[in-house]
Amino acid sequence: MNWFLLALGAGYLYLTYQLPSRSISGDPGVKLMPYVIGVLTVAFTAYHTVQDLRKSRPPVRWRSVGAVAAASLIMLAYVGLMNPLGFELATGLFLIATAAFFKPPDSARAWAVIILFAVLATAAVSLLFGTVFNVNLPEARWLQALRG
Amino acid sequence: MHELLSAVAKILSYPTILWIALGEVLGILLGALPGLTATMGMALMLPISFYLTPEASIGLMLGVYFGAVSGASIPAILFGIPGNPNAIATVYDGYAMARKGEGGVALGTAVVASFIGGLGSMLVLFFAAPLLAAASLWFGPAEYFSLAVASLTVIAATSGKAISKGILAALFGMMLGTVGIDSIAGLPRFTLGNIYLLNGFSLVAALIGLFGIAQVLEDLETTRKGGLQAVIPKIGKVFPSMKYLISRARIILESIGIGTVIGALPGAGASVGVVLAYERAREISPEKEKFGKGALDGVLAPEVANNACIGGGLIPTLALGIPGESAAVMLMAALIMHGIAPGPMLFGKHMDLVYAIFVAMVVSNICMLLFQLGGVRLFARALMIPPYLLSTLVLLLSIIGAFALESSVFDAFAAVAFGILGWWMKRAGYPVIPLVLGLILGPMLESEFRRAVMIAGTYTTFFTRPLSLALLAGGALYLAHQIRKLRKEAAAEAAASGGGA
Repeated sequence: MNWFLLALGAGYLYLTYQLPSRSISGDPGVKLMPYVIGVLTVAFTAYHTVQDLRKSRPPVRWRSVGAVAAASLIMLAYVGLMNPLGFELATGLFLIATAAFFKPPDSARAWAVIILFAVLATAAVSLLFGTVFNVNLPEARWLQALRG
Repeated sequence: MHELLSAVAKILSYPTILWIALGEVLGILLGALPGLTATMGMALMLPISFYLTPEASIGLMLGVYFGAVSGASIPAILFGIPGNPNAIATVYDGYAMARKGEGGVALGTAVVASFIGGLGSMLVLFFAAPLLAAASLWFGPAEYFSLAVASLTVIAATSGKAISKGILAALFGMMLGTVGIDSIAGLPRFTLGNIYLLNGFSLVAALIGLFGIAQVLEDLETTRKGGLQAVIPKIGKVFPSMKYLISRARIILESIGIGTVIGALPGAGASVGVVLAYERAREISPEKEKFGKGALDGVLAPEVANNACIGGGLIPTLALGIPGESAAVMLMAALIMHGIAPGPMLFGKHMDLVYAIFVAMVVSNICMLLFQLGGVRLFARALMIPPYLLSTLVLLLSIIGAFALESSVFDAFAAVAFGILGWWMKRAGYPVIPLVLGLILGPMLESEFRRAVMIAGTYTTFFTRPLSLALLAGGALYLAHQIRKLRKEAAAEAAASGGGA
């Protein structure tokens, strides 16, 4: 986290330097506060990095990191596929994939529970956001074409 | 008086009362399920609350909040597992009572105690409101800037053992808050050419990611292991006797006082309040010897205190814009989404809404009492819902919630990214609340700073205006006090481990 913040702080200061200097009369300008934030971030992170170098770090639990990475990929894939596949299909697949990842099904009954859950949850969320709140949920082009 | 009556009419209207009831049911369920928190539930409700009136929105959020705090007593009493940290002291005697077959009375007492605690702290807030409204007139741009600096300092200093990590998290939040079009000069900043970033990061996407998705990722290993698999014990009689409650008036009043004061202190948290109330009850209870073995007073005191903490926590949240804990951040966000900024001007400009909050607190408490007493057996069954399905549903609602506000896939991606960030921060020991406050208060801090300098024509204005100077000095003193306290604690720990070795 320290290295991430250090790089972020440095990048932020570079972008601040590139901002235009013009401002309204009397206004301290658009650069002042970002400079203060960037300098403080770099200073505190540098202090922290030095402090942490003196401490022994707990071992990384790669199994847990791997599980989080896999769950994150499923979520990112879902968001990315919402427009191409349409809300209902993408959501159904996301629910099945996530539930099966959280608890791998070991029988036909377990699969049936997950599929039933996916269908009911997709319908409920679709009804709540699409119909009750009138949100424009993504609709796939192929589905639009099918409906004419 | 007119504002109060108008607030009563708005809250008691048909759709608003329904949203409060819905929030309450959802809150009790969330509280009853270990691992799901009030904050997570409120984050998931943010996108829905956007479509409601400000009164219904705040009613929904308060319903979830009160419900979750009260519902946490169900697993604490029946299984010895607090649904959230607010119920840690309820476990001591509540679980002992359940094992003796008296779980029903313990649950009933916990509900009635929560009701009394919630109402008691609401009354304190009600009588403090006019004073806070009068104080709002003293605030100008310089004072708002100093207040934002003091708020961020206090929250960063109370967020954990490493103050520098709290400050870094706040700076990171402020950094994210500068992304988008600058409010004074109208120039885009740090958007990297991305049009979706012109309005900055969506607050809802950030909150949903940091508190909803991050929590699921945090609990991933437990969820994959199957979570809690328990058998519900016999519940039996639920209602506590009125004679008992009257005889414990002193414990109730002192617990309200402790809860309200501790709740009003930023960073102290309800878990401190409930333990203090429990210890105080142990001193003054006529059944001292029963404590730890199944004393009803040991359930009554912490349950009064944890709901009293909610009202206490609303004092700095609403009056100063300093939320004492993460759930209060959600209430702030719900108000901000409706264009209402918590802080001194809330009491000056939106007194009708302040009264609506009081009335919503009363209605929430009544709903909590009715639903939980009537449906305690049903809510206990919620513990049997498989955790893997619940976690899946939370992820879906998080992503759709972030998407729904602007029908924006970018916001859904942002929520996932914030979720990963929140998980990573927790792992690295960085507190999340300062980041959120930095994101919320950062833009206000900058714009008020620039306005104050433009009006006064000098940077010294922050030190020449008495209230502004007092706020800055207060923040600095608090920071110094926390640093000193943590150093003392570290020295004591080192001495203890040295002595032990």
